[in-house]
Amino acid sequence: MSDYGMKISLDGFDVKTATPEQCSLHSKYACPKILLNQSPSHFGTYTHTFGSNPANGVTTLKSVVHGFNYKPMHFVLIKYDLSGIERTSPLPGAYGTANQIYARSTTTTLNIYLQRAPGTAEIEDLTGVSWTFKYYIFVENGA
Amino acid sequence: MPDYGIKASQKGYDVKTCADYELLFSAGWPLVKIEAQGSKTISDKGADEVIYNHNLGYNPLFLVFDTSSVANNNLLLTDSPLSPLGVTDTNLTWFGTQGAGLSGSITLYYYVFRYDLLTNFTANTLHSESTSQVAIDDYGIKISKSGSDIDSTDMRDFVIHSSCRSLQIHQSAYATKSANWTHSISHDLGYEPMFWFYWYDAVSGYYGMVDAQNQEVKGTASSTAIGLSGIPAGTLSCLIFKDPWDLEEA
Repeated sequence: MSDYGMKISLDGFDVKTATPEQCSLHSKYACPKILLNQSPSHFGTYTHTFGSNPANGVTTLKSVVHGFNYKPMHFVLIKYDLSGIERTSPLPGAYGTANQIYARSTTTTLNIYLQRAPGTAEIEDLTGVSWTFKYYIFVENGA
Repeated sequence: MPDYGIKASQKGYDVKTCADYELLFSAGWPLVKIEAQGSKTISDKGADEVIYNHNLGYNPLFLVFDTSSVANNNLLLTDSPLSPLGVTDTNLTWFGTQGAGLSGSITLYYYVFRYDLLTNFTANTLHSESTSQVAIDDYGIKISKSGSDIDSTDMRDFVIHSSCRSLQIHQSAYATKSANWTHSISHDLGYEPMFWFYWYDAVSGYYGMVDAQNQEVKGTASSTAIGLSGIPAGTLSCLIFKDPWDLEEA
């Protein structure tokens, strides 16, 4: 990069000598971005409540069309209550021993999946269970 | 922060009154900045291999995706016996020797960000109440990457753009904990925020991202605090973003 650009230092740091870490914004370093005003939106929440136990194997819980022609960077968190303990964390996740939850993006969609393991002795009953997801589809490449 | 600085809102929001999470940036807090991104194939998942030599001298924020497990898909990889990866102060590394009998190859897509996981920082809250997006006119701010056309329609060509949200860091904290610990990080956001959580222990020797399948280290968020707990001794690092959990686009 040539000796031009723009940087904005954080409070207390001299912009002429501030490191990138001491800046709010530094034009040498791009920021992950989420495109606004998309339909469907590239960020939001989704709550999935199970009316009955899903079949063993892979179930798509949510699919969001993103309109990019590439696999974008994404980030999905899940919030749930298991045995009275609330938990919020990024995917991939597990709900008990039999349920793996994960997110992937393709060149057309961001998908949230449940993989329910067949043959698990103590498979959890998901009837009435709710999971809330918060998802982000970024402009940047994820692959 | 003193009463000076610069801030810009997302397109359509009044910069003077909009909530912090409706801003594009403010001089009062840092954005997440990309130091490096790229693809790397680990030829033997059972061995240790450097994904990216960042040489930053600190343990940076990072994300890694698996781009090879299923054709045309990608999966965020957090630290687990099946994906033992994390950062030290010099490298982002695949620690295959600490995995669960791994073999074969894997192709990764990684991001390393210019932010030290061991940073204690708290931003002010300027405005916390949502406002309405008004008519979107053709104005705003955009900064193209070096070598990219400022008139590009590909948002990947920009450092920042008023038509996009950005990740604004409200707070970050770290703490070293003894075994069987709990830790609360209070915040003044007034809403349940999005947060990222990393963990270091002496056994692994690196910082890995904590996910929702980790049975030993856990987190939850409320409108006043992030609550973290764990079994092993180690060091936690948490980033809290100016981003309400229930934020939806109007």
